[in-house]
Amino acid sequence: MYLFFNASKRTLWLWMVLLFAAGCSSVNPMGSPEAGQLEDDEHRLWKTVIEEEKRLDRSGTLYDNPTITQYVNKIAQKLMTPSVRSSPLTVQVKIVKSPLLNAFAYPNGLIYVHTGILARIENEAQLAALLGHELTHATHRHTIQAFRGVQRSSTALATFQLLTLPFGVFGAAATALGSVGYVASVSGYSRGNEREADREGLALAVAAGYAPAEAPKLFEHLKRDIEFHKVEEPFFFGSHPRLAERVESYKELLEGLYAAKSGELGEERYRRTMLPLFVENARTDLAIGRFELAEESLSGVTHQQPDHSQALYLLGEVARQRNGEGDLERSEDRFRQAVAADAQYPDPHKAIGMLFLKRGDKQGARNELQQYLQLAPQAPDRAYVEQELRNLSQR
Amino acid sequence: MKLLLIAVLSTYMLTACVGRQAKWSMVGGTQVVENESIEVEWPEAWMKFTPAEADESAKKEGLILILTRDGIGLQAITLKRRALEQGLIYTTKKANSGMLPQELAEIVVDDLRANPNFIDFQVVGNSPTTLDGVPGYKLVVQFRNKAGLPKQAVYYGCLAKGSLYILIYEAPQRHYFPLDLPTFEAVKNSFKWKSQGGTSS
Repeated sequence: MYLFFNASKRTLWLWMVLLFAAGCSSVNPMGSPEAGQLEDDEHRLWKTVIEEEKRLDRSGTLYDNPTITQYVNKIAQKLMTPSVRSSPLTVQVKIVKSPLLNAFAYPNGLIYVHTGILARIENEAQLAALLGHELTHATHRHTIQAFRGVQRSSTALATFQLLTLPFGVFGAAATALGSVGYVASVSGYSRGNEREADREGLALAVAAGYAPAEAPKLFEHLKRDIEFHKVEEPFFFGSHPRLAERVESYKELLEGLYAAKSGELGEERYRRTMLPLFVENARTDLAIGRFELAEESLSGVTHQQPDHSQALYLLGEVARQRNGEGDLERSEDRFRQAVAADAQYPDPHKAIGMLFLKRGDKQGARNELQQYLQLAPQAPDRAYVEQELRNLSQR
Repeated sequence: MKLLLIAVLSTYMLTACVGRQAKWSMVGGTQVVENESIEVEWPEAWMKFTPAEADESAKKEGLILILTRDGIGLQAITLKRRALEQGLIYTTKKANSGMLPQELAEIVVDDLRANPNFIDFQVVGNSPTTLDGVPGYKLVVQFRNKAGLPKQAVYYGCLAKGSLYILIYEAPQRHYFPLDLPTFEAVKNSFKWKSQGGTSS
């Protein structure tokens, strides 16, 4: 019995030492002297990730605007400390064309950010906080920790894919996610890991010269957004309780470590560079019928650039498609403003022509529709417009 | 005798409660669609599926019937009707009776684009048309289904009698789609709005 007890005690100690060692090796951040090599299971995880990345890249949902992609990557590069640069991570940001609130990092340093979340961000300091948070998940090897902990069940993944169903093609990137992407973008990591990502991520943003006070503002803003618009998405950043935790966590950091710390906002530069993305994201919000979100975003664009003809036209489309009280008049006003801003932009001419058509103003309709075809001879809806013009000449 | 009468009455009542059952039947020739004032000339020797009256998912889809020759995975002609107040399935936008055909096509495209069963969805054709004189749209779309099979479909649609009527032909892109497209176009061209009468199918 004594021998048995001693043997068990020795075994227990051995296990404890091994577990402790394993635990230590799994939490040492990338680039730190103790980080060591990737372990076998981490190697396997990275291989899985390469497959997931390929699937995402092939899903046809990547946002194709080199200026904006370069700009976002430049901010990510500013966050990289020398130790991260010397680590095996390849830090790169890719933008997914989707109006959903999502951003996640793969363990190899690749970060995916959706246009939906970028359109809600107000300045570079907020973007830096978000990227810093995601980058920390990669540098601090949170994914492998999550996988070594609770096994993620395929049921959870299936449930998630059901939840993304209403978003159809805009959720395509989401449905391309495998188990690693699922953990990174939906369920998130343990509360401790998330707080670590808040803390270390904010430290990176501050070291890059950005104002720390912007971090809670971003998550507060997102939280208000999903409350007001009753948006509840399956993603980590689209989930109300998780956002509330972020706000609290950042507020604690601000009251302590960064109480008197100021820094750069980069607001004007952010809004100017991201303008085409705001318009594009509003277009996708409009396509899935999120009229208020689209209107809010486009109003921001016209506030910044009052003669932005595309934004004015899309604001007209929001009103026309929403078709609520006073929307018809509102849409006509916006379409006319769009024409006044750029008479060569074809779409508002067609929109006004269609309004005239419904109102019975044949001459007005004919003029506008003809002008539309002159300005856009290759218009994909040319057949419809020609049909309406034929109908007008027969009436 | 009394027991037999009760049994017969119970069976009758049960059947009445259950309503129309889902059924497959052979079609061909000119027929009036059951419960609809539509007359169509169906291709000979195709099979028709009519959903059960209590089929909630068919009701949600507005499914009236599906026709196929070799199986619905290989070719399917589908007729749907959705009341305007019912809206569409995947988009929150709604059609209204004052919409022009192009506007109607626009929200139908939004609905199809938001359908998670359609992967890599693309509109390859969108043009005005008529269904027995009623102005509508013709959409030609391509997508992959969840199993990865490339498919192609043609959607004809119009607003009539307070509803959105949709006539669809869907088949695998390779081999099957071109094979039965002329048959489908003949069905579309035979489409007639009837006030009453005709042979019920």
